[in-house]
Amino acid sequence: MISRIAIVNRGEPAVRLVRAVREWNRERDSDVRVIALATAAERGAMFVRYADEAITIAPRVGGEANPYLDLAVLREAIIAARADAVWVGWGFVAERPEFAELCDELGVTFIGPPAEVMRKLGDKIGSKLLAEQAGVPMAPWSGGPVTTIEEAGR
Amino acid sequence: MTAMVQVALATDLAEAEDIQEALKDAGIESELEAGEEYPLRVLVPGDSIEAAQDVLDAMADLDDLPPDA
Repeated sequence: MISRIAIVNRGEPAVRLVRAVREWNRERDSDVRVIALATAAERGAMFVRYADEAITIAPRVGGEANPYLDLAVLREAIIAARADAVWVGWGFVAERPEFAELCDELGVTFIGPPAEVMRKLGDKIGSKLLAEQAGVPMAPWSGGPVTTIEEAGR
Repeated sequence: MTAMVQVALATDLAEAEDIQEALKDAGIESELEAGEEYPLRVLVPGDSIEAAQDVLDAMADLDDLPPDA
């Protein structure tokens, strides 16, 4: 049972999650809490006000300039948030399988597709091959990578 | 009038306008300014900052958050 969801995002994706959780809580008389991860500069942002709690994240020396992209920073923040689930919305680490794996490692539910699925669908050719295998109707295509202009012209 | 001070940050114009609308309803004037680390800053007169904070706190307590927030 999820009780604490950390948001690894800001702005609209974060607010959407807060709204959804409030609706969930209202309908089920539950008390799922939302923890915003935010930089010091974002403390005045509405998504931080809307969240039940907030954890400050900051770039670390030698790390990513944007702390929302730094797995080491996010690891510490998720632990500090005592989250049992993580919502990433879109952008930032939403399409990084390594982040989903980090959540697995921390025993935290990643609210999104498994890392393996992200890897398979992150590659356009691979995902088309998968779609074909699944019988999804496809526009005619080369069936694999194209390496020359002549091939592309066919 | 006192100098304008930041009361909130907004991701986009829709969110900023929701904030401004709530402030206006409370009789507090506000201005928008492009932010450096965040897209938009919402500014209010310095002598209205506490009242503006109360308005924003009340917004955050609403069951139904603004649709475009």
